Amino acid sequence: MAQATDPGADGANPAPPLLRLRGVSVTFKTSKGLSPVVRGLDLDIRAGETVALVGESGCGKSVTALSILRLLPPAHASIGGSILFEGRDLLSLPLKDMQDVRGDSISMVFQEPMTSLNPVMTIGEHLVETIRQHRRVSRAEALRQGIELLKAVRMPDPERRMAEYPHRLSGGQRQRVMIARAIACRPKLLLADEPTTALDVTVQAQILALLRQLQQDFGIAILLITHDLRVVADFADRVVVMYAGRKVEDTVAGRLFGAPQHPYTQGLLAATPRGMRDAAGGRRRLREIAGTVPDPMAPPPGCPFQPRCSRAIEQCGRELPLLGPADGDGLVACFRPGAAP
Amino acid sequence: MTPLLELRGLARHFAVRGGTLRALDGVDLALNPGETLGIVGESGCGKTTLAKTVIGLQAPTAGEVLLEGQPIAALKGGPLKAVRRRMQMVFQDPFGSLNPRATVGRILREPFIVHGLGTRAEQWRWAEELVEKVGLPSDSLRRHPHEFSGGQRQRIGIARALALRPALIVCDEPVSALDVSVQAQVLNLLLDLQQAEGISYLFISHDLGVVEYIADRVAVMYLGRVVELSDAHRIWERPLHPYTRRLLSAVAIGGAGQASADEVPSPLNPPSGCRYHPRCPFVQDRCRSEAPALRQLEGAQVACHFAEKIAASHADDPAPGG
Repeated sequence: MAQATDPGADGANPAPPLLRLRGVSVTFKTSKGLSPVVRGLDLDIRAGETVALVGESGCGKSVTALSILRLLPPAHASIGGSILFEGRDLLSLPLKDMQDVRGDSISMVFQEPMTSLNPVMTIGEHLVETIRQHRRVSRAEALRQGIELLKAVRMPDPERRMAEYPHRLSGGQRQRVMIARAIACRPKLLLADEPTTALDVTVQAQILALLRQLQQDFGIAILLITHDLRVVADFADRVVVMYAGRKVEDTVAGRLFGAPQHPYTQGLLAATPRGMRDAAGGRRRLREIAGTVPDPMAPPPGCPFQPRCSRAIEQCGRELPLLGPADGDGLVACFRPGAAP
Repeated sequence: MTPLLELRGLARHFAVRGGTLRALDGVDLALNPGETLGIVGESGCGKTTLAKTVIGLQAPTAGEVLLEGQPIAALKGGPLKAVRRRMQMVFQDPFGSLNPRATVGRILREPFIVHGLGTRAEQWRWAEELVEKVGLPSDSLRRHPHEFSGGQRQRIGIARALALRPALIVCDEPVSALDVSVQAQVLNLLLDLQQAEGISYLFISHDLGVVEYIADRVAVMYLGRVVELSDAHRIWERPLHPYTRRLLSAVAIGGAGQASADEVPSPLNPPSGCRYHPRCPFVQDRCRSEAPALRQLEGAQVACHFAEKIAASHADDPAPGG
């Protein structure tokens, strides 16, 4: 079933993916009841591949990353389905084994580099702690590795930085420290949750270039979570678009921008102001996506995008469209996919 | 034509431990009626200080702000209040800039109360008109800000700014906190209102795509100074200042990023001469000692000693944003 529509399961590339999510659902327990924020998500990431997970606030993209590392508090969130990493289901792993996975074979970089660093620990202490958590090495050896890591993330003046506290660093430098920590144990998969959102544009470009460089040097697979389609275009091999907790489109990055299939993806691209002025200075009106994202506790019937979709037909309000092969390459969940009319 | 807003040598310095932070260091700009002037730059370039100094939330250290030819600093009492009505502000954070305990009706009546306009019944009617004007549901007045989404809250902020029929609205990152589909709604609303009411916007943003779209002219700021001032559609095609080039190439799709760190220096001890010189690939000796003034070039203004040379060396380049 799910396998049959997997773009990677065509025999050309028979190796199982590094990470395979099948039917992953995440439900938050709130004071008002159960709130399903991720619904039946299938996702594959191959070794060394970069997959971008895009969508707007509340679509479930960050929650997906947090569930892969089981970082959601079990008392408030329940995760269903399976998350296979190198064939092992992370969801049924004992907590102790899960702790070995975190920061070792899978690591994560967060959006806010200030709050992710301990203000009373030096940069060196952060790196030594991470290294010695997973490797039996002396403190001196960990310090040496720490300096190497800072060099790897192109931190200026790495020896001196080891003794400094986070507040002395700029936002971009802090994010470099977070990335140094994340790659300390040579992970196979890096989850990057909006790693450049809090940074200035020229620093954003530096951090993305750094991630790409590290990926080439160490062959790390990256799951990049972002709301910024611009970031995705050049960076990712494949793009997965989420809406209201579901995957609505999954395709190679170049194709997403050239020929988006889902009306939501098309809407996101048309709402972006870049390139909407002509040479004489005239403006084309931005296309709005009417309305707002549905409340996860009261989703509309049928397709979750249907109330905002200009192409919705009667069937869309009745049935949930399943992911199916799109025109060309990729998957789309829509009864009327394809070029915008 | 008298410009609606004029800034002359505007500076705002802050005394901090270790010296003087020159957040804004000599800015000359003019904004015409009905025009949108975009201000772009990275953290610490002084764009938010500029907004606050223009609107009067901070007093300038030097220089002056003129509205319709009148220096604001010279005004007091009634005339000052009258000028205040002519300029309003929309803030970045639609969550933090609305009183959570007030109803939307109360929030929208506030400007009328402060300026002693209308009876209570009239204020309610005007609030109803404002809600309609910005496309909020008609039952909004009795609800509280937390009942609205981020985009709707930004509409409330815009309605409040519109209440006194200002000539100028200073928008400080008004769409930065919003998702892209909602951002488009708010940008369209701002353009519609400008068309209907002839409002001018001083539009501050770090997002060049947004500024290029909404602004008629763009000022690029770097460490408290304007380094380039140009027509919005032109600056994208032919940036003159090396810093503008760099900003644009950083946001271009497939933008060429350098993995090495090279960041904006602190405005506390800005570099000598041209403030961009430590990061500039075209730096010459003169740049280290002599600060370039804004000057006319190709119908735009640029503060760079070697702008012609640099432009000529890039004549065959594809546009960085292309």
